[in-house]
Amino acid sequence: MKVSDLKTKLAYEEVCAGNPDAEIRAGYTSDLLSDVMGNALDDSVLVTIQAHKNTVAVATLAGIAAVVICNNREVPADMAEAAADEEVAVYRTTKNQFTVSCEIGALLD
Amino acid sequence: MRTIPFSEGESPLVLVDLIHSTRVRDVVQSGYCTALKSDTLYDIQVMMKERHVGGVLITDKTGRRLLGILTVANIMKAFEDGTIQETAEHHMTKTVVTLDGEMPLSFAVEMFDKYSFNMLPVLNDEKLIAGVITPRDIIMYLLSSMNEEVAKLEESVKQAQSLIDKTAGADLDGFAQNKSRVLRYVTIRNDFNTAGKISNEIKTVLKEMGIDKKIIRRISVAAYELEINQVVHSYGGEMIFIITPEKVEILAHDKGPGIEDVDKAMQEGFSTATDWVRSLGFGAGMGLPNSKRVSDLFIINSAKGQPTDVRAVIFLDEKKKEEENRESL
Amino acid sequence: MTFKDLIEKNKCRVFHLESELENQKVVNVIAGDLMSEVLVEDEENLLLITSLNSEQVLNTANIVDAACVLLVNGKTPQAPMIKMAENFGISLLSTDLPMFEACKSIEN
Repeated sequence: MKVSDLKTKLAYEEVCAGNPDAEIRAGYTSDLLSDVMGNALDDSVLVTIQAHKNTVAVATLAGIAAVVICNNREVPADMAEAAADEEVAVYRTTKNQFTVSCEIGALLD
Repeated sequence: MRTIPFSEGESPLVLVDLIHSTRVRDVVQSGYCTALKSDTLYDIQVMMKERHVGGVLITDKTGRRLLGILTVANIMKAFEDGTIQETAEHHMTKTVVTLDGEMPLSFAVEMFDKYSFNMLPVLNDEKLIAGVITPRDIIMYLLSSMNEEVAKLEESVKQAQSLIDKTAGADLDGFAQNKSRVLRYVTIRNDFNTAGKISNEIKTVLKEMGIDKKIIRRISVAAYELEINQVVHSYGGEMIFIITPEKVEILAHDKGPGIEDVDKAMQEGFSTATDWVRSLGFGAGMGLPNSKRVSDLFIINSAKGQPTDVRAVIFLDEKKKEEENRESL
Repeated sequence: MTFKDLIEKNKCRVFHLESELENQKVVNVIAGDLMSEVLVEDEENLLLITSLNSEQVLNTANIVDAACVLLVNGKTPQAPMIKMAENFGISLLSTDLPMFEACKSIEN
């Protein structure tokens, strides 16, 4: 799947487009950034409720292409700015981590 | 040997709190006897008799640096062996177990439990003698602190009782049928091992009282978030649960340090929690908003440098809820 | 899918299993590591999927009447957690899968 599928196929709200044509090869769901840093794969999408600037920093380090913020959490301005600078896609949705993981999981198959 | 009857899991929280929050330096006595390693055991023994002490610290000439310790047992052995006229140097205990003033008192209790010492030297940051500590000092300190704590407890029970008298109003039947209860618990700063225990105990109590499952869940959520908040953010505090046939009232008081901006703290996602707290699954800035969401009435009072007081009320009876809402309008 | 299917499919290690749970269907699921988010949940008989391996997970699970906790990333619960699970009547499982894959396995 492509980063832009998060918008076109799953209708998540786009906060920062990142690199829309980049290919997503895996998903990682976690709210603990140290866990993300250690275990997330390259070119993956991160499913989390951690709407924080640090999430973008970790995503950049871990080679994550897109972040989906769940449970309708607001994305703070400094996080959106960091995402734009780092070209990390950020989306948000009212759905929870379980549902989002299942939806993205289905697209990856 | 009998072990000291103190257990983290089973002792009353007030005691656990006391023994953990007290530092060795709070208890240490600065009056102690010293002697030089060149002094004879005989002279030291005379001094011990005169000053009524069971042990003497052997120091260097400044009197601040510890070289060893000499106790009644050493003196007795010297009498038996006929070495009483010799100097302290070869008879003192050189491998001295010492305590650091910053250690919790529980550590000292453990040391006295483990070894048969009657006295332990306490050193400061510079490894110089700050004083000594004896089991007697600990007993004295704990007894006087316990007096204070029990007095505080009695006072808070009185307060809680007067609150029930006010809140329960005419419904005395509930009391007669043992449907009303007041429960008080103490929370301890950063004590993540027991955090959550209070809320789960309350949940069990409410279940036994036959309260509706959905309402129990709301009360438990409020209690849990407030409990975690006290453990994570405060210097410790107390939680009082007043359960009447009409409502459950949670009073959460802590010892500070207070919330700088209460409005901000009430916003979802705002958090001052450290990474350490976040790694435990909390600190997402949902605590206070969550407690408020499940409560029918939620009042919080706090300011920087002040204690935080929270009053959360959940009605068990829908009619009562409407009445009170009308009153508050 | 039933809890029994879940255990087999994800090769779960079982630390405590309430006997009546095995044949029940997995209906309400919440996945996450922040316990405050779990406390917001209103559903009953929850399956809680988390990588957080601490006693607070069981405290939280009990508060929201969850039926089962599934630890991911191969986490092994400590003895006090297993004891709590038994006392609370909450089943406690662990799988080597990460959370994303564990969620996916339930939906399929």
